[in-house]
Amino acid sequence: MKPPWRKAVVERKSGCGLSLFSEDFGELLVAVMKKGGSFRFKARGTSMHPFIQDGDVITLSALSSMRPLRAGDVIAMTHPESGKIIVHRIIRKTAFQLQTKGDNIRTPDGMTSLDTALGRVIQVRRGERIVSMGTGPKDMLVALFSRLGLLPSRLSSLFNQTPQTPNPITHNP
Amino acid sequence: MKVNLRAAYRPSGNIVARTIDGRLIIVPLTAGVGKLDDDLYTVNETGKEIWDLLDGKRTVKDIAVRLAERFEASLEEIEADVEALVGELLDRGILV
Repeated sequence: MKPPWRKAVVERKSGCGLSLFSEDFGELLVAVMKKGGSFRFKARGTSMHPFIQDGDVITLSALSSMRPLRAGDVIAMTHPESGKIIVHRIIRKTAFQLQTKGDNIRTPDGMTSLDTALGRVIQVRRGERIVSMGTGPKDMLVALFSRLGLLPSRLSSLFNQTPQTPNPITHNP
Repeated sequence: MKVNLRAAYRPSGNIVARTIDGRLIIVPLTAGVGKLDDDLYTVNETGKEIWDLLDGKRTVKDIAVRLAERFEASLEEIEADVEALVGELLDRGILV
């Protein structure tokens, strides 16, 4: 017996329209990156507060040998332990490994191989305003502060805010 | 966009499509950017059946005939559905 035919429908989704598991999100992200494209999505969490805030729209760029990763870069990566996609800042980099940390988290992530990095944050948009682009001297300084464990307190005084209980920055496609 | 029933369409090179949890997700790359915050598409099960046959070799008519062999509906009904979906995907630049 043949199954019934149902009308074919294409739907446009936005924001929270889809609930993707992180592995799937990562697969989609990698597929876009392989095409040399960029990837835009809404961040959720406070681990990169105040540079990236809950609900900011992040644009990731594909990694390129022309622009090697360096300390200060904010990247999307597969978390070495949880396997989830996170967006954290590189605080240390060697020839084969890197270490990341959320700006608003006291404990750094473990050292991990370079290939866990999926893309580099090139833009952060908050509403209609672009609040950050690329990696400049400020970001390298932030990475240094972060590595020394000075960041949460320094940032809170700088921005006159109390450090929040951090939730990891994840995706909300 | 007017759909030619004798034409064969295929996914554009400017999209990324993945099946996630059995659901087809299509991300158009607009100026090289895949915008997951506000611009992705999904099709229902029937749409995925059609999508899987859109390979640039089978015509719209071929696809309808093939699906009519597998599903309980008239060829005319299925053909009209395939035509409508293909037209919508062409309009969005997802098919070429």
